[in-house]
Amino acid sequence: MFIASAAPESPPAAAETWRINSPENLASDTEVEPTAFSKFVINRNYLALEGGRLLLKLHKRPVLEVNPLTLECEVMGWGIKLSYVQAGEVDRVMARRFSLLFSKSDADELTAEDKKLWLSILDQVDFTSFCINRAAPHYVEGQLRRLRPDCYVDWSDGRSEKIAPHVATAFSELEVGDSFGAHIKLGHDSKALSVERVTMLTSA
Amino acid sequence: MIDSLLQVDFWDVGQGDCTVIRLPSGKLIIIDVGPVGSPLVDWLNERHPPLPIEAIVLTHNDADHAGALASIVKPHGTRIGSIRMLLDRDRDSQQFQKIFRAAKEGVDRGLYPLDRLERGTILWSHHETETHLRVVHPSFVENVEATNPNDTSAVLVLTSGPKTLIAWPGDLEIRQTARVLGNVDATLLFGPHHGGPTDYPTKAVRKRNPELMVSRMREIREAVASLSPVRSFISVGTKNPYHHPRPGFIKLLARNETRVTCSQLTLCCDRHHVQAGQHVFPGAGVLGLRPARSGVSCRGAMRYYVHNGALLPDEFAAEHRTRVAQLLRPQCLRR
Repeated sequence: MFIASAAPESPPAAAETWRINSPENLASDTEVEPTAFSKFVINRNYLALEGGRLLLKLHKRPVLEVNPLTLECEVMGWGIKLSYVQAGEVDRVMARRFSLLFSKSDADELTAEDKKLWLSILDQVDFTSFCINRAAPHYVEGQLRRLRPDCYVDWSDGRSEKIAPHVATAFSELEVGDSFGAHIKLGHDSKALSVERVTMLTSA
Repeated sequence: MIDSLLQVDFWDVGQGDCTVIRLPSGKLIIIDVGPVGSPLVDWLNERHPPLPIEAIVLTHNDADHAGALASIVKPHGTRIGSIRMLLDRDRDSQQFQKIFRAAKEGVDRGLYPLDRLERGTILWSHHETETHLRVVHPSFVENVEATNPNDTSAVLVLTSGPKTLIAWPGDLEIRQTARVLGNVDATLLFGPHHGGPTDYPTKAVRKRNPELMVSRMREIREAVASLSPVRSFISVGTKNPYHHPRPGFIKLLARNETRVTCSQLTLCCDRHHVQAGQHVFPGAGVLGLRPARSGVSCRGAMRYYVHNGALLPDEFAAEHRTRVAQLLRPQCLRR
C-alpha cells in the first residue's frame, strides 16, 4: 500500500488513507525496534522532468528506507529525507534533486558534499539519454547520396547514414549529389532523429 | 574547486579527440572538436551567456578531430577569436574541402582569421608564470613532405617554466612523437592516435615480419622510455573499428610507470561490461560536461588543473581507479 501511494497519479482515496493513519491514531502492542528499518522498492523506472516532456531513466529502482520510530523516509543514494506524509511526492522530490544538482554541476557550483551525492545519483540514472534528449539540434553539413527508395546521407565527418523515411522527407527538394546544411536532432550514435531548416550549400 | 591558472578538460567524444582549456580570462581554447555529434556542441549551445572562444586549433583534418567544426562555427562564429589548421592533404580532397569550407565561412563574414598551424606558433602565454601553449610540429618542410595526414599532425605543448605539462601529439606515430618532443618529460601525454599509434604493429603484422618487428618494437620501447610521461589520457571510442587502443601499447606505458586513463571502455578491458553498456565512471556528468553519444565511458571526461606550475588531476581520479580495478582485465593496471 505504501508503495502504491508513492505514485503521483494516486487516487484521492489513497490520500484519505494517509490521514486516517496519522501518528496519533496508530497503536501497536509490540515495541518498535529502533534499528529495524524497513526498506521498500519504489516501482519506478522513469522520473518525469519538465512536466513529462523529458524522462529520466533509472537504472535501479529507488529504495525507500523508513525509520519506524520517526516515520521518516529516506531515498537511498539520493540524499532525500521526507516525512511519511510526503511520501506521495517522492517522484517530484527526486526529480527536483536531480534538476538542482544538474544545474549546480552545469554552473560548476557543486560543493564537496554535492559532488558525492551527484556521483551517487549519476550511477543510478541514464544520464547519457537524458542529455541526448534535452539537447538542441546541431547544425550539420552533408551530401545527399541517394533519396529513393532509401535515403542515404554522407555527413561532413565522412560517416554515411541511412535516414529513416519520416526524417528523409525534409530532403524532398534536394537532388542526389546536393550538399546541404541542416539542423539535425541527433540521438544515440549520432543518428539523425529529425531534420529541420535545410539550406543548400551553393558553393559546393 | 582548485583556484587554478588553467582548467584543462579532456572530453569524451567517443572515437575522436577534443580538449577544452579554460583560460584565466574565462575564454576557451579548443584543441580539436571531435566528430559530428560531439557533446562539446551541446555544452557550448547551453552556455548562457555564451562563452567566448579564444581559438580553435585543429591538429589535423581527420573527421574524428575536426568533424564537428561546422556545428560550432555556424552558431558561435561571432565569438571565435581565430581558427588554426593545417594543409595536411590534397587541397582538392573532399575531406579537406569540407573542413576548410566550414572554417572559411567565418573568414568570408569577417568574423575571425583562419591561420596556418606551424612550428613556433604561440597560441597563448601567461608571462608571470611563464606558461605557454605552443606548436612544436610540423615545420613548413615537414608539412609539405608528409606522406599522409597523420605524419603532419600538429604537436602542441603546454609548458610552465622549464616543465612540459601536457603534450598533444594528435595522431602522430609514437617514434616521431619522441623525436619531436626530444627528451622532454611531459607530465601528461594525450594519446597519441587513440592509444594505437600507427607504427605500433598489431599481432598479425608482428607474425608476418618477425625480424623487422624486433627492431621496430625496440625503437617503440625506447620512444616510450624517452617520453616517460607520468600520466597518459587516451581518447578512444568503445565501438571503434580500428582496434584502438592497442593493449600492448597501454601495457608498455604502464610498465614505464605511466598512469593511463581511457575515456571509454573497450573489449580488451571488459567484454561483459561493454556488452551490458555499463559505464565505469560518469566523468562527463560529475564535471558538468556532456557525455558522448556513443560508447561506454570508462573515465569519460577528465579535468586537470594547472596550479603553481604543476598539473593536478580532478578529485575523482582515485574513485575511478578503484572502479577500474574491479574490471575483468583492465589493461591500464597490467605490468
